[in-house]
Amino acid sequence: MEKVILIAGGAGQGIAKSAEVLAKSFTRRGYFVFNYRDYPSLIRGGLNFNILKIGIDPVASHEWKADYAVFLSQQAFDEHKSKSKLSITDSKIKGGDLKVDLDTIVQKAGAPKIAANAAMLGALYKAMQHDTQPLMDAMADYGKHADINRKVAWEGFQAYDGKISKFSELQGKDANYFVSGSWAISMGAIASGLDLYIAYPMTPATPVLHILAELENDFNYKTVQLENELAVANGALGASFGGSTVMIGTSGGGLALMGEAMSLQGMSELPLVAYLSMRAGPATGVPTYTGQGDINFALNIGHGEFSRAAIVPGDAREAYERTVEAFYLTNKFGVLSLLIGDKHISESNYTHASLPVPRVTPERFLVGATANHKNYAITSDGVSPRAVPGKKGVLRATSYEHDEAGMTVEDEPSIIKMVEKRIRKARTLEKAVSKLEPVTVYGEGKHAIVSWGSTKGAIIDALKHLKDVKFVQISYLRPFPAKEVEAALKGVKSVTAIEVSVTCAIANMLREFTGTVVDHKITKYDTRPFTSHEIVSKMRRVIK
Amino acid sequence: MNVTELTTKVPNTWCPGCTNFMLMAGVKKAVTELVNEGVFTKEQFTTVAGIGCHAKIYDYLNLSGFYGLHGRVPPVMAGLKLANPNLKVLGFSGDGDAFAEGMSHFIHFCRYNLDATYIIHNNQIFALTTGQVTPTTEPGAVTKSTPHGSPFRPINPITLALESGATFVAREYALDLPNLSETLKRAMKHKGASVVEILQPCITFKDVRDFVKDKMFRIEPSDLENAVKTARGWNYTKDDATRIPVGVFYETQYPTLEEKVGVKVWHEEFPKREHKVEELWARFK
Ligand SMILES: Cc1ncc(C[n+]2csc(CCOP(=O)(O)OP(=O)(O)O)c2C)c(N)n1
Ligand code: SF4
Ligand SMILES: [Mg+2]
Repeated sequence: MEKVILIAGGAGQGIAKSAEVLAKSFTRRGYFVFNYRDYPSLIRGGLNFNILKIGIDPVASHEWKADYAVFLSQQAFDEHKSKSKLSITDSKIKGGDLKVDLDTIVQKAGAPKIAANAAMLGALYKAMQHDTQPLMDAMADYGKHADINRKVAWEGFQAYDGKISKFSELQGKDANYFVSGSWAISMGAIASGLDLYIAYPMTPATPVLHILAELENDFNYKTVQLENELAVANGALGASFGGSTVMIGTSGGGLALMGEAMSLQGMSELPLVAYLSMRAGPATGVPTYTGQGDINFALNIGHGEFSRAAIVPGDAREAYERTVEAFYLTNKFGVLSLLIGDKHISESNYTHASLPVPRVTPERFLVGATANHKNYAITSDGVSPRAVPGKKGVLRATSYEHDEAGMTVEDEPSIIKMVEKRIRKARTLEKAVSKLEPVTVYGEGKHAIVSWGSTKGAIIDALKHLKDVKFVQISYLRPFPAKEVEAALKGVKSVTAIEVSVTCAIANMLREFTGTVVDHKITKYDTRPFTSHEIVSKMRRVIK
Repeated sequence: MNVTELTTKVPNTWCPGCTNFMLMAGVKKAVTELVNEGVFTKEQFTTVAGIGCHAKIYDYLNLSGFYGLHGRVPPVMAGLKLANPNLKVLGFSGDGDAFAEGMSHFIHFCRYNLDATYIIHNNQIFALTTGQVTPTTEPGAVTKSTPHGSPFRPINPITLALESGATFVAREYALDLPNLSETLKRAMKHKGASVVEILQPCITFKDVRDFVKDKMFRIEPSDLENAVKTARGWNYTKDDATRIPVGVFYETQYPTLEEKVGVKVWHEEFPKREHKVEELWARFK
C-alpha cells in the first residue's frame, strides 16, 4: 500500500522541513518514504514543493499524482491542485477541499507564522486517520520550537473535519533510516578518513559543502572554501601531495573549470575524489533541476590519456557505499575517482532499512619515505607506492612527463616507460573494479532496461508493475564493466536504455564497449526526474 | 649541510648566463643557511613551481616539490599547508604565471596570509613561450605578440600584494646575491604570506640588466601607507626618470590561514581517528 503526499508553498515557508518531519514520523515506525524536493533558483516567494511517497514496502521514487495535498499559498494551489485527489488549504486560499484557518490557529497558540505548517501536518494526519503521537515525536526535530509546533499541529488535527481514508498501521517494525544522497556522500567521506573537503558553492553540490562544514570539528577534519574551482582542484592536489585524504565537489560548470586539474591528477597520480552533482545544462542551465546530460563531459574530462574511476550510485545507501569505494580506489591506485550524482540523488531523501555495508575498508596506502624513495617507481601492476614529503627524502609530484623520481623528461624511452606504467595501472584498476559489483541485475525477464545513477528508484518501483522486464544497473561507467554488462544482457529479447538526457549517452556507451545496439531509448529532458509511472507506461509501449 | 646538497643531476637548460642561475644561487644560499642555523630541516622545504623558464627550478633544486600547472602555484601552496602546516613551502612563479594566468590566486594568497614564501621571477616577459607581453611589461613595449607596441598598462604587484594583505613584501634584483639571499632568508623565516618579487631580466628576450642596475635604490621597511607610496614610485615603466625601489617594503604579523582554520598534520591523525559514523547514521533513524 502506498500513499503520495504533496506539500507546496512559497520559498521560505518551511516546506522542506515540514516534509522531512512528516516523513520521519513514518520512517520511524518502519514505513518507507521517498521525498522529492522541487524548488526554483530563488530565496523567497516562488513555488517550492515536496512530494512524499509513503509505503509499507520499500519505495524509491515519487509520483506526480498525489492522494493528499497541502497548499500553503494561492500560487501553489493554482498550479498544483489538479495533481491531488484531496487538497487541504489555508482558509485564505480560494479553492480546496478542506480549509484550515491557519491565522486563527497560529494566533490562538501564540506561535510564529512559520509554525502554520504544523497545523497542516496535524490536519493531514487526521485525513490519514493516524494517531498524532508519531508526528508529535518527529517534531522533536524542531528543537527548541518543538513544543509550539506540537501545539499548532494538535489544533490542526482538531480543525480537520473532512474525509478520512484509512492508511494501515504498522505494528512492531524497527525504525528505518531516512537520508539524502548528500548526507550519505558526506558520511561516506567521513568514514573514509576525510581530512579536507575543498569546494566552491554550486547547486546541487552545495549541500555536501554545508554538511561537511557543519560536522568538521566533531569528526576531526576541515572544510575549506577556496576562491574558485581552479583553486579548489589544484589546491586539493597540493593537499593530496601533502598527505591528506581530500574530496572536492561541484556541478558541471565548476567541473569545467577543474578540467585542467583533472588532467594534472592523471599525470601526477595524486589521490583525489571529485564529487560531481549534475544539473541541467548547458552553461548555467537550470540550476536547481536535474539531468544526466553532463556524463560524457565528466567521463572524458582532462586532456591527455589517463585512467579514472567514474562511480554512479543509484540511491543514498549506494552513495555511501560507493563513496567509500571512491576513496579506496584513489588511495590505492592513484587514479582519479569521479563520484557522480545529480540533483535528484543529492537532494532527495531515501529510506533504507539497514546500515549500508561498504565492500572495502578505508585505507591510505601510504608508505614511509626512505632517503631514496621514488614516487613514480616502475612496477608490474603500474601502481607506485607513495610517500609524502616532510620527514625524509626528496619527494616529487609533477605535471610534466617524468622519470621514477618525478624529474622532467623529454626523451622517448623514458616517456614510453612512464606511459606504459600508467597503462598497466589502468588494467589493474579494471580488475579491482570488477570485484566491486559494478553491475547489478534486478528482477527477471526477457526485456532488459539498462540505466545508471538516479533513475534507479523510479525503475525499481516500475518493475513492480512490469512483466518480463529486468533492470541492469551500472554503477561504474569507468572503467566500463563490459564483461558484466554483456553477461547481464545475454539472450535478452530487447534492450532499453533509460537516461535523463537528450542524447542518451548510456546507449552509445553500450555500443562502444559491448557492441550492443539498444532497441529503445527512454529519455527525458524537461529537467525533472522520472517517476515510476512514466517508466511503466513507456516500457509497456516498447515491449508489447 | 653543504650548498651542493641542493643540486640535482638534471642538466640545466636555462640559456647560458640567464639571471635565473643567480636567482637560484640566492635561494640555495638562503635555504642552506636556514638549515644550518636549525630553523628548518632540509626535508621540511617543499617547492611549488608554475610553468615557464622560472619553473624549471623544480628540477634543479634537490628539494621535495610539486611541479604544477601554469598560474596555479598559490592554490597548490595552500593545499600543501592545509595538509601539513609543518612544511616550509616555497612557491616559484614567473610574472606571466603569477599575474596573467594566476592573478586571482595571487591576490587570495596574500589575503589568506598563507604561511608560505612566494618568489616571483619577474622578467616582464613570457620567456618560455619565446617573448610575449605580460601584465608587468612596460606600456608600448614591442614584443612578439605586440609588434606594434603593447596597448596595455602594467599592474604593480608590490602595491597589489600590500593592498591584498600580504604580511611580508619585498623586491630584489637577481644579480645582487648578498641582498637577494638575505631578503629571501627573512621572507622564509617570516610567519605568514611573504611575497618576494625578483627582477630577473631575461637576457634572451628582454635584457634590461643595465637599466635595472642603473635605476634601483635600496629602501627600508615602513608602515603600510608609506610602503604603498614607495612602491608606487615605480610603475614598471622604462624611461630615464625611472627609479626602482628594492628591499623590504613591509613586514607585519597577522594570524595565518592554517592557524585560523586549525589544521593538523592530517595523515598522522588517521590512525588516531575514531570513526563514529554509525552514530551519525543514527541521526537518520
Ligand atoms: C594553461 C596554459 N596556457 C599557456 C601555457 C603556455 N605557457 C608556458 S610558459 C608560459 C608563460 C610563462 O611566462 P612567465 O610565467 O612569465 O615565465 P617565464 O618563462 O618568463 O619564466 C605560457 C603562456 C601553458 N603551459 N599552460
Ligand atoms: S629565455 Fe630568458 S628567462 Fe628563459 S632561460 Fe633564456 S634567458 Fe632565461
Ligand atoms: Mg616571465
